[in-house]
Amino acid sequence: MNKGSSQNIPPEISLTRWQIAMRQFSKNRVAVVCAWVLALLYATAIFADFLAPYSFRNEDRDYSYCQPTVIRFLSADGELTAPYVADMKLTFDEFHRRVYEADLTSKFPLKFFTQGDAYKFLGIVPMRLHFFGVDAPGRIYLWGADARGRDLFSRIIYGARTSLSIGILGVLISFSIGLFIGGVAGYFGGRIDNILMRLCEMFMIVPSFYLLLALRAVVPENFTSLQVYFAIVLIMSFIGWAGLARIIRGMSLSLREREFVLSAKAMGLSDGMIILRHILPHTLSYSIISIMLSIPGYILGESALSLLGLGIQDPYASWGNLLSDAMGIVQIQFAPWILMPGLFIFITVVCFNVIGDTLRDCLDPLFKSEMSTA
Amino acid sequence: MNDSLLSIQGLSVVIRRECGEKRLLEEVDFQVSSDSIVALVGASGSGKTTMGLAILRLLPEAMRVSKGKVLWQGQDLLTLSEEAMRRKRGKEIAMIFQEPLNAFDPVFPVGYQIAEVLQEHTALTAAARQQRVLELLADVEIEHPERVARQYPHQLSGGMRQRAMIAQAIAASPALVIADEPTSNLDVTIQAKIMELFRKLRRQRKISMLLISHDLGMVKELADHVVVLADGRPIESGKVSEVLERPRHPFTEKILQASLL
Repeated sequence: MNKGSSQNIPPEISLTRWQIAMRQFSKNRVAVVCAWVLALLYATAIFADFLAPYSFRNEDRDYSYCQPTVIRFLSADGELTAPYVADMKLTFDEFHRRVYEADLTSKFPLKFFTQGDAYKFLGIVPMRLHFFGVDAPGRIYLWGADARGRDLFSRIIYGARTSLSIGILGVLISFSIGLFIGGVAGYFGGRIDNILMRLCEMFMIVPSFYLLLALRAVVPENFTSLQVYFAIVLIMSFIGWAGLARIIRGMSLSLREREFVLSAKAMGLSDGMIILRHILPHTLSYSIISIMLSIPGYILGESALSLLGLGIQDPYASWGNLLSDAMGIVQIQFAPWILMPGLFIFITVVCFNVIGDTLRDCLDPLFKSEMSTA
Repeated sequence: MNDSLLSIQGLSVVIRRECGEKRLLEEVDFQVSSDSIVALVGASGSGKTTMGLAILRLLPEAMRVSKGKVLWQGQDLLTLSEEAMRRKRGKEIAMIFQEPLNAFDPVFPVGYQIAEVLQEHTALTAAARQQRVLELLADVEIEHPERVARQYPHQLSGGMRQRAMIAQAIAASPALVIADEPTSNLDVTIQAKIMELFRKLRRQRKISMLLISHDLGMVKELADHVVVLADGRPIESGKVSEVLERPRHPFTEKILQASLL
């Protein structure tokens, strides 16, 4: 490649726009922390089987609404021991409420890399290994138990799979539709544009939540849990594409007047090729920001559906249907830990929004120059 | 007539306005025979670029051909289906634009954009296309083609970009290249080099050219025939030597004087 130096050698390829943007992004500490938090959450979702001490359907009704287990380092007579959890004895107080008391005499040592419920690692390799756990009949409830004595910690981890994947999947589908429709409408203009945009508006005039409910009602009752999951993803992306399509259409409308599009036509490229290669790539930075900012919408949409009992069905977990346990004041009063999934929804949504906002600032050239002069 | 590649017969182009239609080109006739360079000269706004776009059927929506024929190897391009016309663009008739910075898509490296033309019009594999792109860049006398192929349009100098544009235009070996003011944004030394390149390409590849220009110096150097347009009307045409030596029309004389001053 090196053919000696000459005066006319063009400069070596400098930083691309993305590299500059990434550099800018990494300067924002909050955004970087958010990115790591999300990475951690997604990793947790992927390795849920291994990280959760119990399977999401492992229940023990003797421990209904058992409070979070304390991991103890001191034995009953005050001596330092290896970490253990005490057996919980169920009693009733004067109001006939369930109260669990620790019985320090029956100890179950905390074990790491222990055998537990069977699962298939990454859906393929059958395994029983769990990151931590205690031997039966002892049970460990890091963040308490739900009504049926299932471990909330495990269920939140399993719920992350549903809640976190639904955003990505939904956005992929709705953005494919939105980019396609918007690109085509703007590029061709005229009657095609008119028809497609009126179609968009038809989707936009119906308040989206009611449309969501109506479409959910159409899904057959005998669907399996997985089918329901995909049905929800499809319904949400079916509703979500219109807004994006309108914006992409506007961009495409102005891009098609650029000379490189005329040049591409003069080179004999087909319309599909021009849209795909010379129109849509120019909308990429907008799309990426928009994707980041709309993922939370899908997570919240699924949560809202599941909270109302219309989404993911028990025993399968999603953060939304875990929260549906927390709809009564009694439950919240006596078992406040069941609000925990809400915290996770909150963290995830905030992280996506912060990252989206930061990306917008980084990809906007005007903002960058402001930052450097400030 | 036999070796006529492109024959424009009585071509008129109009633009739609609120108050009716306005003529942009009126009854233009000329021919480009194979292995020749025809220059279309005239002041700005005389319809030279419109002519080029009309041949490729890429006129803006507001304009349309109202009369006449564009015969390409005996076939009227204006009657072809859109798909058949698209196959001819780039493969048989290519166009070089005035400002390559705008004519290249800023978000892709130039090598990629040249390869795109090959992908559209040839059956080459991806690896063969890459190879061909480097050959093309070498053909237009670009040094370090491997590096230039990976660069984005804004990273190249004006002359380099114009060379890359020419490489893109000749990628699918078209029979005719329409060059719309190919050197007007370049400085004089680069202009001379580009002209030299055109001459070489014509020699080696037998590519005919329709040169759209207001630079009479360039026309004199390159073209065989010249058509002078004024206000969309062809006022004079003939061999370059004759028209430029002994202009018959006062307008031709005027632009001749202007450029020679």
